[in-house]
Amino acid sequence: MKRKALLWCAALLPAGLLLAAACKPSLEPNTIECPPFEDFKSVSLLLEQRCGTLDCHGNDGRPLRLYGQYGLRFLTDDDDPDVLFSGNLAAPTTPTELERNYFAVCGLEPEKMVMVQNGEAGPESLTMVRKPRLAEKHKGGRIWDQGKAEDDCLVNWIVADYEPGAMDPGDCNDALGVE
Amino acid sequence: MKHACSAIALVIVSLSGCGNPVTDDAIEAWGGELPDVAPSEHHRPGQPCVLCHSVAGGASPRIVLGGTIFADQQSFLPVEGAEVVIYDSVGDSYTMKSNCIGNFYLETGDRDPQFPLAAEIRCPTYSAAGEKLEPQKVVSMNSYISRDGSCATCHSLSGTGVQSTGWLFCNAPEEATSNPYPPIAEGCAGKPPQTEGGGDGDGNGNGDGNGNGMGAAGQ
Repeated sequence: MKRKALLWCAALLPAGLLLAAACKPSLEPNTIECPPFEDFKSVSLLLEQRCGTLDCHGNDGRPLRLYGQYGLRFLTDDDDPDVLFSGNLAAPTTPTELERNYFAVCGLEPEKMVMVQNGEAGPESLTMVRKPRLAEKHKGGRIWDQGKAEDDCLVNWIVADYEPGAMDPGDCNDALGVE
Repeated sequence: MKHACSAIALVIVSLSGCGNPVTDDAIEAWGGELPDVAPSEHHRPGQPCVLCHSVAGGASPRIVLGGTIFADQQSFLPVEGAEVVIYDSVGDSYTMKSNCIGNFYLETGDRDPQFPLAAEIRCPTYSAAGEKLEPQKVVSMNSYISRDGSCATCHSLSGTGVQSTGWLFCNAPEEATSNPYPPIAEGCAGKPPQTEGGGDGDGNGNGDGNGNGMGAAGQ
């Protein structure tokens, strides 16, 4: 009886190993298509101001984590904590923080972001477009309406119907109240 | 007897399942009341009020927004009589006044402010001789309050940092002598913070606060 059980185990072991190998997730980094980083700065400033406060997305425990001068700061070894603290207007958002925000935005729904970039889906399929419009449940409520300058700033950047580095900053500037 | 036991067990299970473990842990981390300060509008200055005074926290009264105003970012000397004005997203405004320990709050009511909110503090002013003056000094927040009514969630007693703009204050360092705030009123039922950034307070809130830069209301 024991011998029969051992034979079964021996027969099943390779199959089990094969199955385990097939289920092993790939740890290779993924690259996705995302709207141009060159044009992200004004979008990031808008998100920092309207979404990135410490009690909302400027919080390291929340999805779409945003860094910036009004909220959470990203401190590297080279940064001075006596300067790079939350709310210090003398220390504007750093290039590292800008890059982190870009990763957060692009990585929120990467597959859908690729579909939007490829024209297979509209920007309204993205949760980060729907939530501020309150077209999807959002704890922070309605942040802006569809068609407003803030909404256009974000959507135009996502749709990326422009050459990299050449996005019209008009809507973003209007939303931020700058000339 | 068997039914009675089952009913009691059911009640115990139901009650134990009502808490929010995240909120409960956060409340517990703040510790108990000071022995000589009863729970009242004078207790726990500088702590996140809405953590307890909310549906999840369970304390009464329920409040929408609350915090504490201190004189500057070097000490925990509270400011009495400061007006905190918030402007909500539907155009309404609400005014609160800080008490002798610097605490202010807005109870939930028929007409609660709608987030996001903008806020400003109208600080009382004094002459160098300590006489109260007529004009107020207005300090405004640079960012919105998006969803958390506890000012101390972001304006932490631990001072400025990557997740804190420091506690709320009225005076920049150079204004300490030109606009001196009086010590805590005699008979005030509250005590200033004794821990974290406050270090060893001397009873008037003059601790060795850890404030190391621009903070809170000064922005």
